[in-house]
Amino acid sequence: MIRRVWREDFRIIGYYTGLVTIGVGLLMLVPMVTSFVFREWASALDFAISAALTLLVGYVLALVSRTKSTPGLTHAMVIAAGSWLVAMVLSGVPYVLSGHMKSFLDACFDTLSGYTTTGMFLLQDLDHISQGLNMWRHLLTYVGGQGIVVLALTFLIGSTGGAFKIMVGEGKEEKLEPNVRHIAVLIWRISLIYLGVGTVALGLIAIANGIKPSLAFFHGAYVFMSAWSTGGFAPYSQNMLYYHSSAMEIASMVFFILGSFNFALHYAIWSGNRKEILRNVEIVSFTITLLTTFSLVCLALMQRGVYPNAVALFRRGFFQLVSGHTTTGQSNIYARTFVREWGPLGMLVTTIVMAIGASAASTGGGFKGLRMGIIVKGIATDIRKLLSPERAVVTGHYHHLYDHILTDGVVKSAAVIVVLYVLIYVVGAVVGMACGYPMADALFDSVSAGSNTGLSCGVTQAGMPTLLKIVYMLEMWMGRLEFLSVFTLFGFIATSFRSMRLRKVAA
Amino acid sequence: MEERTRTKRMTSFRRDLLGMLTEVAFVGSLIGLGFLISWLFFMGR
Repeated sequence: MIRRVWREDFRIIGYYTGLVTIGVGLLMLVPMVTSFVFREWASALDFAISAALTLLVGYVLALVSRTKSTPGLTHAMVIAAGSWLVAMVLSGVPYVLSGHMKSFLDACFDTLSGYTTTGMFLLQDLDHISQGLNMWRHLLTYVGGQGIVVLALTFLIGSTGGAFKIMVGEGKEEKLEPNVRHIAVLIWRISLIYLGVGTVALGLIAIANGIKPSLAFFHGAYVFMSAWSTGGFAPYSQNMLYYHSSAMEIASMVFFILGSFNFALHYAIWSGNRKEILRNVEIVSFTITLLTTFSLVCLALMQRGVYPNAVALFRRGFFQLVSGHTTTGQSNIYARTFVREWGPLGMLVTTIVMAIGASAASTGGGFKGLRMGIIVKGIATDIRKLLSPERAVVTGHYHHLYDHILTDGVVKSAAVIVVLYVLIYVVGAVVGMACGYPMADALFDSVSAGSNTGLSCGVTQAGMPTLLKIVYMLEMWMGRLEFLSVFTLFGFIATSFRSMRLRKVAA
Repeated sequence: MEERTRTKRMTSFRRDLLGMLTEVAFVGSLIGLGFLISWLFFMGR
């Protein structure tokens, strides 16, 4: 039986959502400072207005619903899903004020794409936006990768009893440390160390490529934030193709592969358990699928004679495939190249790797290597059971930080999530086809949105139908939060209406 | 006390650095394998 919703439930949800909103408002100060540095006064004013509005909304929300109650699991799920929507709307304000968006819906599409680390965009005239707005786009994706709630936990919420539940609602279910604030700090520590290293490395490469030193390190930071968070944004509309630099592409590839790793795996390796990288089921699964699918892509591209030599094949083919598999979406080919040059096999393989995606509890999306590994091991165990004598006890194992016994429950949970992902991929593709796009194109962009990848074969653009924009936004949101918290939010809204009706009847 | 803190910091720094190098080395070899596959496909053409 589903319990009724009381005023205190709204207070808890409102209070924590308010705190997360304050966090988003404070974050807007970073692009504001960037605009000041580059003397972009109009952009600085846009961010000042947006930050003031966001802080006001957050403060009022937290003040009105001030409570000392601890969030339960339902609250946590609703806070996680709801915070992302509130953040999406308020983060869209500077986009609209910049004058580079066709509509507020497009702005929300871009901010949600940033937060969910998807990387699709509808922004107009990207090559001429301010450095402040560029910083904001990349910061959204960097913070989204770590989780907005993780950020709020680190700086605002602290170690309340329900904090870990909120984090689970955001898809970061690995309990690395007993104290939830320590987990959040740990995630941020790893990310910030890599941010420093990545910005310097990519900045130096940018200088070597002829970019002014004053701008090069900003480019380094943008590309790093996009790569590490498996986001896919870039400062220019040509994405990685703008740099024409294999060093930049390889360095970026290193960071997006690292970003696609589970934070628990980073933690294990950084704590001294270095052999874990060779034994972890997610890494084994990722390595096998990557090398197998790359062989297929090579076959497809060789058949069509797309690239003249091994270096070009590796530089374009491998980069694109890894970008898809890690759900990054950075690109060093034009969108229509997938259709015109890669052909059906190349597109299908890229679609499959995007659907599988990165590791669980990472910055990446898709149905995750862990679930893929569990399902494959589950099938192998079932086959072994069939081949063994009837009395034999056959159990499967998988290694993720330590050895786990493969139970039917674990396989079932993994399979349910995979089915849900496939469902949203299919729904998005069907809507795309209904809007007049060819099947392969509609499926490619739908899987890209649902798995938070961001690669496009040309469907995603400002002129696409509004219905398709909304469907892709839902796919991005659900895919990022892994369904549970979104379904809980829907259930909570329905229960709230039912409770209100019951109260009216009782009155 | 100060000596202990410094040693602790150094140990932590060394662990972080080794962790990072392990990860980068693994990813580097993965990228190397990718190049090897492309090269093998062109050789076997």
